[in-house]
Amino acid sequence: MQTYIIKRLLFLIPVLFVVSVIVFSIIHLIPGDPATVLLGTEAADPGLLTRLKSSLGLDKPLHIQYALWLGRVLKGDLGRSVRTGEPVLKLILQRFPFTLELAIYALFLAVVVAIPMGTMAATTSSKVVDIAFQTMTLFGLSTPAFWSGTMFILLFSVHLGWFPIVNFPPFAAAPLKNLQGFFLPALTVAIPNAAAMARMARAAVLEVSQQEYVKAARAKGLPEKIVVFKHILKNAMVPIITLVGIIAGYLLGGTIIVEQVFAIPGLGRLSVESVIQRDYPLLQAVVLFVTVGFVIVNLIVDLLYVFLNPKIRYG
Amino acid sequence: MDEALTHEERVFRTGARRLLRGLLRNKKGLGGAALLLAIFSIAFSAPLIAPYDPTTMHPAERFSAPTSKFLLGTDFYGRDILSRIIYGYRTSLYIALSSVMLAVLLGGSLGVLAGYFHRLETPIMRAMDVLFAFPVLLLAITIVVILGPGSLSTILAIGIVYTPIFARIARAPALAVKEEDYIEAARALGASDWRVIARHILPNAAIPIFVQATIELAAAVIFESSLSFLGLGTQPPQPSLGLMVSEGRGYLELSPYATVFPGAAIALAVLGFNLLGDALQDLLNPQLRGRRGG
Amino acid sequence: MRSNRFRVVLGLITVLALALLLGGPQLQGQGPKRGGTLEIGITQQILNLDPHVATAFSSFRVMEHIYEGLLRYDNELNLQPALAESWTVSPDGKVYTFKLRSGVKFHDGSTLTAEDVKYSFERILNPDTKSPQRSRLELIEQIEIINPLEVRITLKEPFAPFLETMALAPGIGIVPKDFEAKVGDPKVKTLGTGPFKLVEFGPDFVRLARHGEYWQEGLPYLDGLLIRQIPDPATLRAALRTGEVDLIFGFGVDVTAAGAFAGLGNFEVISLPELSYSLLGIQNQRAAFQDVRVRRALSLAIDRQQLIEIVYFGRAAVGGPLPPAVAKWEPLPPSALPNYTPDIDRAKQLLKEAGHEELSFKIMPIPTVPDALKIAQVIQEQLKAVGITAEIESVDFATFLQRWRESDFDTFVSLNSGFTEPDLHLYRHVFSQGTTNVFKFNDPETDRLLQEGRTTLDFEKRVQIYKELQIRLADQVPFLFLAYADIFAIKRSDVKGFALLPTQSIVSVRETWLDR
Repeated sequence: MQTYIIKRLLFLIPVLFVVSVIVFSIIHLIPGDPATVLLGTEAADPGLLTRLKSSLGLDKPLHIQYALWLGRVLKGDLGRSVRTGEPVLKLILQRFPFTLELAIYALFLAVVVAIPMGTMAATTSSKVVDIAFQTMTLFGLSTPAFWSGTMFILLFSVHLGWFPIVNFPPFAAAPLKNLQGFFLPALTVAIPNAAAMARMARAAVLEVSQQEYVKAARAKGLPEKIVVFKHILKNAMVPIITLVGIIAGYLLGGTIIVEQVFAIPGLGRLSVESVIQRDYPLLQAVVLFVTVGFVIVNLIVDLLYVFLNPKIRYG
Repeated sequence: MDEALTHEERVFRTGARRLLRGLLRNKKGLGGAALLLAIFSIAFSAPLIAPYDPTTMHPAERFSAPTSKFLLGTDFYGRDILSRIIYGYRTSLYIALSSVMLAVLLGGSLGVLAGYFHRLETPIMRAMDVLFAFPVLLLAITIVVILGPGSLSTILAIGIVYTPIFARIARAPALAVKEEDYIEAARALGASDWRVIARHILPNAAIPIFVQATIELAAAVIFESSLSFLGLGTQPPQPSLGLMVSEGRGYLELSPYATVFPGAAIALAVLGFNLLGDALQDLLNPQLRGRRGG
Repeated sequence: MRSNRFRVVLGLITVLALALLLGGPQLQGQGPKRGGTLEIGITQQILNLDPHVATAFSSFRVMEHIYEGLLRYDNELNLQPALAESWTVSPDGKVYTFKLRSGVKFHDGSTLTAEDVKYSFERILNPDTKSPQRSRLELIEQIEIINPLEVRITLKEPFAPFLETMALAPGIGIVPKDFEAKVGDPKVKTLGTGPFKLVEFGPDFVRLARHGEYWQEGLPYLDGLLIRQIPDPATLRAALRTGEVDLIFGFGVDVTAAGAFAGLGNFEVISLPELSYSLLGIQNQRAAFQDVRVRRALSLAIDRQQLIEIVYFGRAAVGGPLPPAVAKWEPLPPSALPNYTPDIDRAKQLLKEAGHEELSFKIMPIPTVPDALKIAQVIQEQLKAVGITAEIESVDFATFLQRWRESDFDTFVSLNSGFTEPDLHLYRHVFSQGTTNVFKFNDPETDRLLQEGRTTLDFEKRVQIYKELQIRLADQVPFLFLAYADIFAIKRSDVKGFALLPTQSIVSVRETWLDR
């Protein structure tokens, strides 16, 4: 098991290398550069731009720029943001807590709603449950987050006054206020994901219910509860957890739209800003950071399988 | 005739026939198919049925509520919302279909190659992992920024983002079929790899890919709207449903119609794809795996 | 009987309520209250706080509370002394002597001297600073320190708007000597003389605190100022409604936002005509646009008033080369300017004469100005009437900047910041060698008028020169001046003493107080 984990983590190194090369090449393909953005529309004289570019090292050939960057990274220095001059690691760590909390909160809300809902939809023949399931998944899958987020703000914050809009105190300082402040954005993120999870849960439970051993358990006259929980859900968990893991990986990369609508300074906005402003060192670092997070989440998911299904072994 | 078919082709044919028959008996499936048919015909015949040109402005009648002149009201510029929805369906469905098709072709072939040729498996699937690890919207934004906003770059962006999903789905059946004895036999008899892929593997992978595609189509409509919200999707004045919702959102206090009606139009299309997808999923049951959220 | 008594009671209550209401203002009339933190919401990101380097609107709205110039504008845009208490100008307009206010303290407690002024201007002029403000001071020949509180600046040639330039803080703001050594990184650390000092530069907010030793006795009233970014305009408005911010302004706070708040109690909408103007930039060297008749046809084909009705709901002024809001420079009304009265037939005629009856080109809207895309759509629609096919070409911000800088466009829609003084307002855009003449406009007569305008010192003569220039520009159409829009700020009613300047500056925050 340990060797498996080490192997998976070692795999990160080539992945990160490839990702960094891709990001580096892609961002240099785009027209515009940080020096141009820094100057804005204030002055168009070329001398100023040339001086700025050379002070940022942008006048060197691409492969040299990459080598210099890589050299610094290997020494543990991710560089400084072109726009603000601050260390990119500081900027990332400043914003990661927002993204992390939003991801965990949203996942929690989604799982709590989706799995019972999907299971119920699969195991009962009640019309009411089916209609509720259809409505929820339809709403979840057909409503863009920028729209539902705005609606939640107007309804729950402006008209009902239940939740603040742009108030995110640190969890440690004010846990209740924090959970209240993050509720609407977490809900907005949770809804489409809950809909996807509920559909997956329904399909997985349906599939498992038709397996021979479940039929056998039912035939033995085991109470339905035991059949559902011990036999069906436990086995249906594998595909559900795969999906939860994928979603978790995505959410850690930042939820650009929800962060934008709810004014949360998370990783998603940081990454978009770095693309828009051509802040090369920042974008590189954010993407690498997110990739590491994604790979680690996937690893955790794979390890979870082992606990759910001891038949799976990694060696 | 049947003798000429491979085992998988027969399975595919009976499977497809079973699906089709099932659909016709399944209320959900039938409803979904009917809804989509209606929406597609609206989109297809847009120039014939739209009461106005979708970009013509009627400044004197901006933010009109639904009237007999403008059945669903007018927007910020006094453009007819109904006509824009009709044309918007056209854009949105065009983008959704093209991008999912791109993902199916690209992802599907990579997945089949990875499943069939052992030495290609690691490079392809690892490349897909890398693509998968990129934050989805960031990847799409970067692609759009490189190519400049517009329909084509939106299609490319969504298509590339969805590619790994189809690669994963296509690989499993390829892996499964490859190990069968009769494949070995076929190859021993001189069938080329490409022939095996075409006649044994593709039929086996086709149905799960198709089902996944109906699901991703709904997601693609939403994805396009997210890009439009960020100003990187369909470019005005060309209407797309997502663009209409995000444009109208800024003027909610003045007129809800410009965003509610296109929002409902999105919901209808998504409902159609979902119902169809659900029905197919039910009929096909055990075959589905790995749906991408977001 | 019963209902009568009820009526009496009701009447009494009404009288009482009225008395309270009328008494209210008297209670409030006690003058400004001290303390409290004003929370301001804007949609744009705050990035860089180096006064001589930053260019973003949001950075300026933060830095203007931290850094000051020798002069300043009051709320009516008249020049007032700031760090300079008084000044003299030599008769030939080349030597300016500034007497500094004594006892002005920087945020670190050190005292302002002439050394700091000299250092600040030399920092802007030093090519290594890479300051976009550099061209504004290029005419300076020499800076001499006469004594610790007096500094003399000699210009290479007379430059009429020099005093106005000295009021362009924070861009031409005063920093202490050895600024960079003192603060470390001036992009994120600050040291000025302004009424507020930087406390915290967060991921999406800036927290400022009162400068206890501010030179103007008693100011500021507020203990603190929090400027935070809320990128989505709909959320920004909602946050004002729930009281999470006290004041909103800038991009996204427009006439529709004002409409949404107009009917609500507890809120006040402030609006005034702006100096900035929206424009359709034209690449004058593109084949079709080299012909002035085509440029004139564009001006005639576009109905600016209709554009204003649609995009700004009528809350903008059709404007020529000078801002209609600054009466003293006698801006000409559209009726007095050539090519400003829409005339489809004449436009068609001109296109025909120029051989461009079937003209098609692209319009590139700047993505950071929300109105730009709307303007582009309206123009696109209006141009159809004269047979011009315009295609909207959306690009992202950095791409826009690069193509703008390289004059790689047919036309673009953007917003140019405006100034009260005509030379500052026009020179860099339309002078053939101007630093932002990306239009590649080259008209010797315009150059001559501009040169004459900036070297003439007599005000009346200058007004005449700029009158001639306005007509010349409207006739030659370097680009299309479209509209000078109204700007808006919306605040809670208990925010008192706040004024928005036509430059979108919010320096009045130092006189703002909270009635809580």
